[in-house]
Parts: sequence; C-alpha cells; structure tokens
Amino acid sequence: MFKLLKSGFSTIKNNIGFLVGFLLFFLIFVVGSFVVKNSIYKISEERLSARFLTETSTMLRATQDKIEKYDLLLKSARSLFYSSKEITRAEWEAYGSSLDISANYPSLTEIAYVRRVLPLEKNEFIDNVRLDKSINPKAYPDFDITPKGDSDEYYIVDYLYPLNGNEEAFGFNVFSDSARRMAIELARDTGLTAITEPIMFIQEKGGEKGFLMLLPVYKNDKVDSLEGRRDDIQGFILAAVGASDLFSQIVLSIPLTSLSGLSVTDVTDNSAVLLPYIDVLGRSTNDTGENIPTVQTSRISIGSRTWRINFRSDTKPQIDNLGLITPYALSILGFVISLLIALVLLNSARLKSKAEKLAKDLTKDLEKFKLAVENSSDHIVITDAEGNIVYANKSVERITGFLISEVMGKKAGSKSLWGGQMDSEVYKKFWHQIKVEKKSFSGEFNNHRKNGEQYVVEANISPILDQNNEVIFFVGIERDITKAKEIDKMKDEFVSVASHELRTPMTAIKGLVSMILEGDYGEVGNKLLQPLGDIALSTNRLIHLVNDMLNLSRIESGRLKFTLKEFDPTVLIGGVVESLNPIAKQKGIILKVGTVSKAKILGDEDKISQVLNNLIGNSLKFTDKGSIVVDTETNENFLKIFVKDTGVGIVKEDVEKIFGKFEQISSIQKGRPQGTGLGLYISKQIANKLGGDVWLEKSELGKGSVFGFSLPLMQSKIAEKIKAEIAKEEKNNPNQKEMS
Amino acid sequence: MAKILIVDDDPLLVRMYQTKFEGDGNEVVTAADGHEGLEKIVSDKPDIVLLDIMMPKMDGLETLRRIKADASIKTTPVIMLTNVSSSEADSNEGLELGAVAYLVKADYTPKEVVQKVKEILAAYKRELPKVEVAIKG
Repeated sequence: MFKLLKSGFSTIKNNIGFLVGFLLFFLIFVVGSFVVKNSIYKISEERLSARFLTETSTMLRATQDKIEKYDLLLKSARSLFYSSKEITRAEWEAYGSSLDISANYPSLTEIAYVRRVLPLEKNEFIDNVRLDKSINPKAYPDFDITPKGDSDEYYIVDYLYPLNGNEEAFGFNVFSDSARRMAIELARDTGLTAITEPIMFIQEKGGEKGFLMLLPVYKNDKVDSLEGRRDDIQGFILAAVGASDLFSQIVLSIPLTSLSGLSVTDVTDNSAVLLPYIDVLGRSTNDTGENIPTVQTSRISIGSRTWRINFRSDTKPQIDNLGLITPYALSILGFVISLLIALVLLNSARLKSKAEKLAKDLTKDLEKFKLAVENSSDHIVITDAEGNIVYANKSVERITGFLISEVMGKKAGSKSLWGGQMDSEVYKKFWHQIKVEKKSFSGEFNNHRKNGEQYVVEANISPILDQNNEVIFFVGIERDITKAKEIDKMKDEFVSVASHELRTPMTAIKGLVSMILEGDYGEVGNKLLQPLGDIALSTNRLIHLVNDMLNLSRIESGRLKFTLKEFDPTVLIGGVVESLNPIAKQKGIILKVGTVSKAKILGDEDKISQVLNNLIGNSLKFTDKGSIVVDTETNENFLKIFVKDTGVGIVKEDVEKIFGKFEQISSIQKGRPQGTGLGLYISKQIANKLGGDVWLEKSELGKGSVFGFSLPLMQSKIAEKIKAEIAKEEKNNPNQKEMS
Repeated sequence: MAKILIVDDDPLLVRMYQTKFEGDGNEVVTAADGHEGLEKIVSDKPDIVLLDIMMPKMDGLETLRRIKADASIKTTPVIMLTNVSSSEADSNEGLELGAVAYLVKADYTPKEVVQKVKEILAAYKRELPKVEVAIKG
C-alpha cells in the first residue's frame, strides 16, 4: 500500500492535472456526502419530530380519555345514589367489586363514598359504622374519624372499595386536608367533578403521588344554584388515582418510538409535581429526566386543573428508527469510499500512465524500427512463407527500379522482377536452404534492374520461424555491391598493373647485374663483385616483396586463384627440396626429405610449393649448421608436413608475432638476409584457404624450430568442404582477369 | 644453336635477353609487338618464341591464339615470358592456348631463362618427330 501510494504520488508529481482532478473529486465527494448526510439528518429529524408530535398528541388524548373514563365511573357511581337516595355499605361493596377495578381501572387506588357529616351527627355516625355488620360480621368496632379534632363539617370516607389495603383511608376526613378541601368545595360549588392538586395518598401502600377526583352528590339531584348546592350537599364520590399507575398505563397502551419519557406537573396554582419522570415502559427511575432535553411541553386541562406534560426524547435520528443509514455512518462511509476510490483512481492513474509510457515507448520503438527499415539504404523485403512480397522498403525502388506497388504480391527475385539472372540450380539450392533447411542464406546474386542494367548484391535472407519451427515469413536484405565490386576490381587491377610495372625494371636490374657478374659484359674487377652481389640480393628482395604484396592483395580481396587437384605430395616435396638444395649446399647444411606419406591430398600445387618454399627458405635463412629435414605424418583428416631445422630457434615473445603481417624478428635478423615479413602470414592464409594450417610446432632457442603445415587428405570431409567453398568463390568471381 | 624470336615491347629487356642468348651462341630475332611477332614467325621461322603478354597493338595471348590458329606456324613452341604474375588467370590461359611454359621474368635471371629454353628445346626436339609423324599420318 505504501509502495502504491509512493509510486502513486510520484505519478501525481508528474501530473498536476491529475492531482487537481483528484482533489476536486475528493472535495466533491466529501461535500456531497456531507450534504447527503445533512439532508438525511434533516429528513430523519423531520420524520422524527412528526412522529414525536403524533406520539405526544396521542398521549395527550389518551390522558384525557382516561380522565374522562374515570369521570364517567364517578358519575355512574353517583347515579346509584340518585336512583335510590341512600345505598348501603353492602351495595357499595357489590358495586365496587362489579367494576373489576384491577382489570378496567388499574390506576384506580380506591373508589369511595365520602359522606358529609355535621358535628351534631358525628357520634351517631361513628356508632353506626362501628355496628355495621352488613359486610363484615364483626363490624368495625375500632372505626373512628381521622384525623382527630373538631371541624365545622366532616367529609368522611365511609364506603370504600376495596377496603383491603386502604384501611388507613377508612374514616378519613377528607375535609381536613387543605388540598382536598379546595377540591371538595370546588366540586360542591360547581356540581362538577373536581380534581385535587397532586397529593400524597394517606394509605400505607401508597406513599405515592396521585390525585383525587371528587364528584358531588346532592340530596336533590336537580339543584342548580350555589346556595342550593351548599345546602344540599350530601357527599362525594371519590376516586383516588395513582399518577405513575395512570401514566404507565397510558404509555404502555401506545406504541412509542420517538418518545423516551415524560413528567407531569400540575401548574394550576403553582407548580407541583404530579408525576416524576417515567420512561416509556412506565418505569419511574431515579433519573429525573432533566438531562434529557425536553422536546415538547404540552398543557392540558383536566377538569379544573391544568397539567403541564413534559415530553422528553433523547432519540436522535437513528438507523433503526428510520430505516435509513445514519448520517454519521454515511459521512464516515462517504469518506472511506472516497478514500478508496481515490486510491483506486490513484492506482489506475499510475497504471494508466505506466501503460501509456509503455505504449508510447513501444510506439516509439516501432516507429524507430519502421523508420529504420523504411529508410535503410539496403534493399529490404519481407515475404510470406511462399516468397510472395508483403513488404518492400524505399531502397527496393531505388535499387531495382521497380515501384513498390509493382512488386507487392509478386515472388521476390523472380525473373519478372530483379531475379532470374543466375543458373536455376543456384535458386533451387538457395530456396531449399531457406525453406526446407530453414537456414539463413548469405551470398551474392547477380540481378537486373527494371531498365535491364545488371547489378550485384550481397544478400542475406532469413526465414523467420514460429514456435513450431514453421516458416512464418522471410526477410531479405540485399546490398547493392556493384560499385564496391567495381572498386575492388579496380584496386586489384591497380595492384596487378603496379606490380607488373615494378617488375619490369627490376627484371632489368636483376638480369643485368647477374649478367655482369656472369661476365657477359667483360671482366668484372674484384672490387665490384661485392656491391654487384648486394644489388642482386636487394633486387631479389624487392621482387619478393612485390610478389608478396600482390599475393597479399589477392588473398585479402579473395581473388587469389586456387586450382584444386588431387596429388601425391612426395613428388612436390621432393621437387621443392631439390630446388633449394644448392643454397643448402652453399651454406654447408644438409637439406633432405625424411619419411613421407604417399597419402593423396587435395590442394593447389603451385600454392603448396609456395608455402613449402617459404617454410624451408626460412629454415635455410636461420640455420647455419646442421640439417633441415622435411617429414610428413597423417591423421584422419590431414597430411602434416613438418620442416625441422637445427637453426637459431625463436624466442618466446616472438612466437606470437611470427604469423603477423609485416612481422620481422629483429633479434635474430642481424647479418641475415632480410625478408618481407609477409612470408608466414601469406603461408598461413594460403594454408587456411586450402583447409589446412601453418603453425610453429616447437622451437628451442639455439637448437632449432619445427614448423607444421597441414593439408586435407583427399578422402576427408574437409576436402569436400574446401572443394565446395573454392567452387563457390569461383562462381562469385567468375571472370577475374588481369589487365594485359 | 637455335633461332629464337623474342616478342616484347620493352627494348631494354629485349636487348638484355638478346645479349644473353647470343652470348650463348643462339641467333636472335626480335619483335616489338604481336603483329610484328606474327610476321617474324612466318618470315624467320624461329625454333622457339619467347612471347610477352602486355604489349601494344596486339597482346601476347591474342598473338598466341593466332599462332595456334595458323597451321603453318602452330607447331613452333611458344614460351610465355612475362611479368604478369603466374598466379593469375592468364598463366592458365597461356598454357591452355598451347604455350609450353610460363615464366615470370622477374623470377629468373637471363641465364636461367636461357637454361629453361635449352631444356624445353631439347625436350621438344625429342618429341617433335612424333608430332611430325602424327601430322604426316
């Protein structure tokens, strides 16, 4: 990854445009995801608040419905009194149990009849209750009014359902408590249900907050004036409602998703908490809910009272709630995605630029190759596997005179184009070599241009093979060497002429000096013998030099003519040795032929005797006493001629030099006839041409040297090869002629 | 003792060879080019011809060709005596055309040339009767 980034950045460095594009893209994506996030947030907020509103209004309505339900309950209870003026404790008990409070009114702590008792009636009332055995046979002997103390009038909880668990309320003087009394007076004076401010229930089990609903019961149910109501008041139907029970029941009865909780405060006179904070599962916790922002505050009128309900919600827009990706997650996702995309883009940009560079390089290379081929001064042709031209460069037009359009599709080198000038065998052999043997061909062709003019090319034709070694196409490169050939010929002719012209005066000097020495022009004084002898030697040396130069020129231009034939080397060796014997005798050296094989060899007699002459001549030059022996040996392929002398030998450092061009070994030259320095070089060249070699077999300073000269045996493979080579050269230089 | 025709355009060399051959007791006739050489063969009937190759008007090979084409003179032995290298095609051509020897002037002293001519004449004279018989037959 780091590497990727690194190289990515290095790519960027090279590409400001890309960098700007990338940053722009990144910016757009981030801003885009932010905008999307916000709008989703907004949408979800809107959805949430809409749902919240729905939920709160549902809550409010449910609350009112509940209160109304209780109101109806109170009214139904009161109707008992109005229908029968007075009901008994037992009847109340029966009525109460028929309500099935726990199922229908779970938040109802008790429903009671509160009887108005005047101070005069107080004792009688107490006695009556104590003796009332209508429900409990033991009656209520301990019954008393609570709290104790005198009052102008008493409103005493008389009938109470259920009594069980609400014993503390039995006999309670509701009028004794100011909050309750206010509600009693309000209910009495208005004839309507009144609700107390939040109060603590007196029952032991309660200890909880709630409120009382009080509905007045008059002696005369038709009373309609305040005075009448105050006179006629007989008692109240009382319902005690636990606030937390009430609201728990409400929240549980409504599916709430956006609401997290609520609290209720009675704000009619001054603020009094009715319901501390409860959550949507109706649990009142220690949490006051204050740390949860109040999302909505509603006020509802419940009878004479006003309640303020604080609905709270800590529910932020959420995935679960909305069925949408949460904006935060989205923005993070957006960032991650844009980062990933950026990396992908970066990488692809890197790859792209790499690929582009490669493609560019390749194109450049191809372009280079194309230009090189197109503009090559050599004739370049590509043909299919059958030799039909599929490509020809400009030089084809220039050299052959045929237009490229003319040559396309035609067989390369056919008679209708530039070929057909040579023996059909040559073409056959050539085609076999490149097509069947699948080998490259190198050689010269005589061709003709469109205008009929002859020209010579040096051709290199290669088959291009596929993986299965099948020819796909051929590439032919031909160089017009007509001019070069002409120049070569001219050079050769120049050397020939020059050597001829040099030889003529040298012939005169040599001839005349020899004749003077021979006395043809009269007696020669003794003093002249030495200088005349030196002139003769110098002239001979000069003639040698010219001969060697001519040979050298011929060898190097490949125009030295070889006439191969099979022959017995013993005769040749004998002849050369015999011709040189006079010089040996003169020096007092034995020159003889040793053991000589009669194996037939292949070679050019003249050239071989030239080489032998040179080798034996060298030995003669460097041997002062002893002998020179010419032996032969044969092996599988060669006849080896050895020239062994007892001469001065050759020092090590000179061994490498002796076969070089114009090399003369100065250290042993003193007082010896000087050579041209070409003898061994030319000998080696000639031997090589004949398939053999000339080498120094061994040499010991002061003891002598052995030179070897090998020639191919007639029956050897090498002889076959040499024959073919010489024949080929002959074909290439068919009519070499010296100017005469 | 023989009559020798030297055909060569170089008077210096002609004089040299003439001196040597005459000193050896031979009769020498000279010609400076191929035309003159042909005329002298016909008129002087030499025993042997020493023929140079590089000459004006008619070169030695053409002269040789004409000698061999003329029945009256074609039996006269011809030695190519020239400075054109023996390793050249011309040496072959000369021998192929019927020359009895090919000598490179520079490689031989006049004495050696005289010796060669003597040898060749001796060999030729031994064989000549056979040839004549063959012609007569």
